[in-house]
Amino acid sequence: MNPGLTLLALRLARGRVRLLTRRMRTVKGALGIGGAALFLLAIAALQVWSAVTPGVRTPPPSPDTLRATVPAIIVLLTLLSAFSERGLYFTPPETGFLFPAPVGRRELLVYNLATRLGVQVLSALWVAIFTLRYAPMLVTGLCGVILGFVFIYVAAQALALGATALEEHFSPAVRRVVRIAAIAGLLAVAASAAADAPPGAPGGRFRALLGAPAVRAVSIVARPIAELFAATSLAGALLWGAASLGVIAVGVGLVLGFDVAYTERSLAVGARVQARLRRLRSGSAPDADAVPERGRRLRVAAPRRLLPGRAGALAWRQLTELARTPRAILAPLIIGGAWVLAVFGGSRAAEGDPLALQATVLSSGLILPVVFGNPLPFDFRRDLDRIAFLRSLPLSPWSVAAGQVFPSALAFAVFEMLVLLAVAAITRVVPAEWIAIAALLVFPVAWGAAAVENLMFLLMPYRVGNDGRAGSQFMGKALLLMVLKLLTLGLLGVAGGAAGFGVWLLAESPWPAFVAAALAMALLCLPLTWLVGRAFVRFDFTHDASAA
Amino acid sequence: MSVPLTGAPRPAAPAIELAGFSKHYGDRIAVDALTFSVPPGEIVGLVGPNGAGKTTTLRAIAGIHPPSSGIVRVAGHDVVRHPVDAKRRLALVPDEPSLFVSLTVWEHLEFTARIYGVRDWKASAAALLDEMELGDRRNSLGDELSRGMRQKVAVACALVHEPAVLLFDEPLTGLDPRGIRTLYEAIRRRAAAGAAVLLSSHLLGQIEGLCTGFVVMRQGRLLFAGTRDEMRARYADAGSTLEEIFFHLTEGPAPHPAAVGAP
Repeated sequence: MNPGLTLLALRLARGRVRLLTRRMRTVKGALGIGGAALFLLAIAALQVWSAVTPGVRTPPPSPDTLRATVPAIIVLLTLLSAFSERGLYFTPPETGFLFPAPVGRRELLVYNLATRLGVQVLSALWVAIFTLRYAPMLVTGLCGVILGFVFIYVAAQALALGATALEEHFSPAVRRVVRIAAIAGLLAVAASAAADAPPGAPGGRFRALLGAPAVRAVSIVARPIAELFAATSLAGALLWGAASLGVIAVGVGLVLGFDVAYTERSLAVGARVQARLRRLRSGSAPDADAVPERGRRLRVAAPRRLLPGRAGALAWRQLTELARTPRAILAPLIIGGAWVLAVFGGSRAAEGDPLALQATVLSSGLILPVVFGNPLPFDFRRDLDRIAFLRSLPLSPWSVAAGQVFPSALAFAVFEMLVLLAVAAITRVVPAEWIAIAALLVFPVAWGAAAVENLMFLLMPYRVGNDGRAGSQFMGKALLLMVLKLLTLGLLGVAGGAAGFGVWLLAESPWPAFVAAALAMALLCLPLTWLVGRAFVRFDFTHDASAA
Repeated sequence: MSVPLTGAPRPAAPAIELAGFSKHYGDRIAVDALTFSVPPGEIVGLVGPNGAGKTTTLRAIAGIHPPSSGIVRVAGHDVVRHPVDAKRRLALVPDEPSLFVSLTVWEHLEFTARIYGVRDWKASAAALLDEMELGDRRNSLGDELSRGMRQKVAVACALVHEPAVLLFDEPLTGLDPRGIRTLYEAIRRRAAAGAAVLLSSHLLGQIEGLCTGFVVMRQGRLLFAGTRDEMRARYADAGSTLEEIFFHLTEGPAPHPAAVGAP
């Protein structure tokens, strides 16, 4: 390899340590990194404790189950990685410095694979904390997880480059037909497996899909890694370990062998990844800022009188942009729909505890989306680069906060209700009254969650570097945000519960009690929104503008 | 000085040579049969409205975008058939200078010198930092610099291996007046030493005095390629400044393919 590439890889590794130590020198940075480290350690300790404590430990799945599910999951992740990026990712400095440099094609590919190896190993170590309990032998299980992650990266690059090489030989029309046929084939396999699955507990259809013959056939390439993970003897582990390395070596050979002009594709991938990082930095929805093809943008508009006063104009702007960005809406709906089908497909009350299933259904609609985060954050997070403009408007901070948070809360509430209705329709265990009660409570819940998310964002905006470096600081904030949202949910629950109980004592009827609970929760969201307004006033956009 | 069209006599072996270079993205034509050359020692401005294909052309010369058809040569080396030999002799400063956030300015120069195989690079790197007025920032990290400083670091890195061909994509963006003057002096010095410089810019008034020749493009097609004097002589009726001639050339109906190369 070119000595300059080796030097760059070494300097970048040293540079990452230098950045970490530099951040540790500030109180905020030390608290962020230390807090994140402690949180991760606590999660790891909990996993280890639950894995070694006899009463808590769950029985490991059978080797046959592992052989069926692990390769399928690995292949699924590989396909997702390959066809979401469709090419090798190089950071902007790498494209700027290395693409015009006198470096051979293979040298640059080897550099790319080698420098990304560290991230794969770190990801594998983190995932191993949660998965090693299912491996019969610790060391071989760990090797299996690490090699699994390396395989995913190498195989995804090989697939993406292979697809690019093939595309060069076919017209756009043929490519479109092949793409549609491939998606139709995948859907047919999924539908067939889901139809064959017997009704049972949540997740039954997902397991059936992983065990489908077609999925098994496709995922045979990752079978050695699953066998390594499930190995029960040293000899078997050595054999499957060697086979796994062989499969990865073939992948590396394919990456180096495909004679395609990857620099052009990499520039396109880099531009997409950078756009995504910018959205991540501003917390906006996937593809919310994507420029649609000419003539495709919808011309629908939100109602103008959703909020009174001038804050209504801000809310109208956000909701109209949301309505005119169908991909931003469709993506969470498709992902949410797939999750609902995978988890609840085939679930019926008859096979399990109806009450437990009802609780699962309600929490899936009302609480889980809050924990995972608003998929339609059309609020301050999308407006990081417009904070100065918002500050210049003749509006009080409260009005701006209300106008910005309301659309996000409304969109989130609708999304939550859709998830809830979908799960309720599939499982058919939730009475209609419960759905009506959930409809009453869902907006205050969404409002509280949106207010906390915006508050956190304005106090500690996410900063993601051009090289995609968000690191522990970002992860720490995400974890802190999750905890804060759960605390807010608890607070809203206490306020709503107290008000509802009081009204129930007076009226002796459940419906007024639930209405009172919803009102109390909404009232509690008012001071939260006021706090968002205060954070908006204090937001130092000049400082943040230099980020990334 | 000359920026000859195909068929015109060449005063010296061109440092940059494009012959019928075209670039297609699916059905879209980004550059259509572009032919021009730049001899050593010349500074040529590549100008055109947005979407003219300037960046695509620069990237193709730098070996990043493979041509759909045609030939691109750098210092006599075909960038498709002998990319490493061609790239060894060129440097590209992109429009958005992006540095490694965790590397210092000095480390950027160090690894660039190593990549291009430059021996005894330290003295010339220190001189370049002084030339770019970055002497006191050698230990600053990439994310500790302003945009203008990042631009200067990118230029310093581009010059460390003394390339025969220098490509600049919008080099003036983000530079203050002093920075622009520093860059001009650096470019003139390299051209005087024999380097061929091709730079794209929308700041016509700024580059008019710097460039000795111009290539004007619109919608991927060549409208003019020649020296500054040739351009003024040919379009005397349109005006005397580059800006006036630019508007004369680029406004009105789109150029017909038959007119390409024969303005």
